[in-house]
Amino acid sequence: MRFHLECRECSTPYLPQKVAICENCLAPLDVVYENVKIEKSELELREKNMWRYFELLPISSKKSIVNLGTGFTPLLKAEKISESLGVSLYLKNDTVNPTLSFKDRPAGVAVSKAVEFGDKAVCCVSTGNLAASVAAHASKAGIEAYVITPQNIEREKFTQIAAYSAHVIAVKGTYDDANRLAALASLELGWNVVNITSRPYYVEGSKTIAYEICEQLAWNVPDFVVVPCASGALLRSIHRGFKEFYEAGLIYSLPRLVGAQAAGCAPLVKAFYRGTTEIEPVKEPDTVAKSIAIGDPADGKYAIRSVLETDGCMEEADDREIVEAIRLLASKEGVFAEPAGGVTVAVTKKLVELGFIEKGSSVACCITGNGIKAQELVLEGFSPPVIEPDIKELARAVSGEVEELHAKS
Amino acid sequence: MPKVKLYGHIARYSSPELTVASRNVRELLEDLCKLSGSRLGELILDSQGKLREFIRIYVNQTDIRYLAGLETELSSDDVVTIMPALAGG
Repeated sequence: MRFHLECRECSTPYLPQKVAICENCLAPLDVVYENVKIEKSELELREKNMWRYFELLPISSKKSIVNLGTGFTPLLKAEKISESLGVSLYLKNDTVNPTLSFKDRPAGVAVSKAVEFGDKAVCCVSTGNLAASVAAHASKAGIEAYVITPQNIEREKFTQIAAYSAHVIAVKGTYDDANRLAALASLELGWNVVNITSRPYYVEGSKTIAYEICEQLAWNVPDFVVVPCASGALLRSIHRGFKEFYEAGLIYSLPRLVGAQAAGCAPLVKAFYRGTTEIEPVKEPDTVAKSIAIGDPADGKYAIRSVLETDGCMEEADDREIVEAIRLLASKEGVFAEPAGGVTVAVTKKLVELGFIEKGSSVACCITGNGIKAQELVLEGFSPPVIEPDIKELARAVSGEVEELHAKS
Repeated sequence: MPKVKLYGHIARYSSPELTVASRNVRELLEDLCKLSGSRLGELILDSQGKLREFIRIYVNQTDIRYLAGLETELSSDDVVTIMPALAGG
């Protein structure tokens, strides 16, 4: 057996079965790997997707892998923003994963694990990105997907989920209302809700972001890694990833981690500044960053611990700052991010201005989802001139006679 | 009388569904412990009588943290759900 499960609080060990919480203290379980040995030279020869890290993923047999080609996404140097901020800014561009978000990483692991468990269907509770990813992986695996979402998620996300033929259940209420329903589906109906029932396995996928950053920086780490926080699981997983590579002797230092939240739903930031890991949940999140609008963050305490352990911090950005950052990323660096990506860039900018991120530092921002999934924000006020296919009209359009031409439409 | 539903590992120490004549959530938990034994109480409340972090209690569909916490009053047709804090996200 290459790995087992262990309680995060009381260390009770468990066999690697479909179990997510400790029966003694109800705390979450983690995967613990045994005797992992990875050589840089061997790794570098492998296929460029997240499954190159198979030894550090909780799948027993390679035959179970449901592979859409996720991972090894570009780590782009953001030249122009770097210059204006006075730092070396890198963008971990997960907008180009198969379903356009980082969620392909945890969903890939969770659906592969479901295949290993012999499940004929999987479920998830999601603000949209995970739903699309689980649906796509389930299609590839030939099993059914049931996704539970809050009803107010972006239209584009419903379109994507529907294309993969998943069964969609939209819930009146917030993400946390949907989560409670999904938890009951897991407990009462025995459904495999991948981010609840199979959570110890599911969260492991996200740490491959850390592995890839190390490899892409020639086995170095940036001074800071900025991660959007919803449940807090992504930040904690990325921390785990860096620690595992450090303990394996593949890297020689750890980055400082920054958790970024939207001001309209920032329970981790609030707790961090109160100097506690006790989270006060947000009943009604109110932010354009819907993909990270989780008011009751399950891994919140652990994300704050990761930030403290690495001498990092938590910070928030308001909706205006988020939209500005989305436009900045798209217009200066050619990367169209959804609001969660805007949050990380906005928070980076703020922390540089505050001096927490020192000038000259290297910073990797996690751009976790594609802007095409949240188009409304960018399209607001967008009204292009409509002209006849005539070269003179084109000249007038580019010279700014927009209103007159627009009136013809 | 309020109806109580228990889920997951919590239900191992009690009947999964029962009715208790309690005026608020704290009293309900005390009544449950009297009926089902101290292990259930230890699982739900810490030694200071605070709700443990991995437990969620809902009155009807609302988390008691958004109501009056353990002092949330109960009426006869309320349904109280006690379950592990199962994470999503």
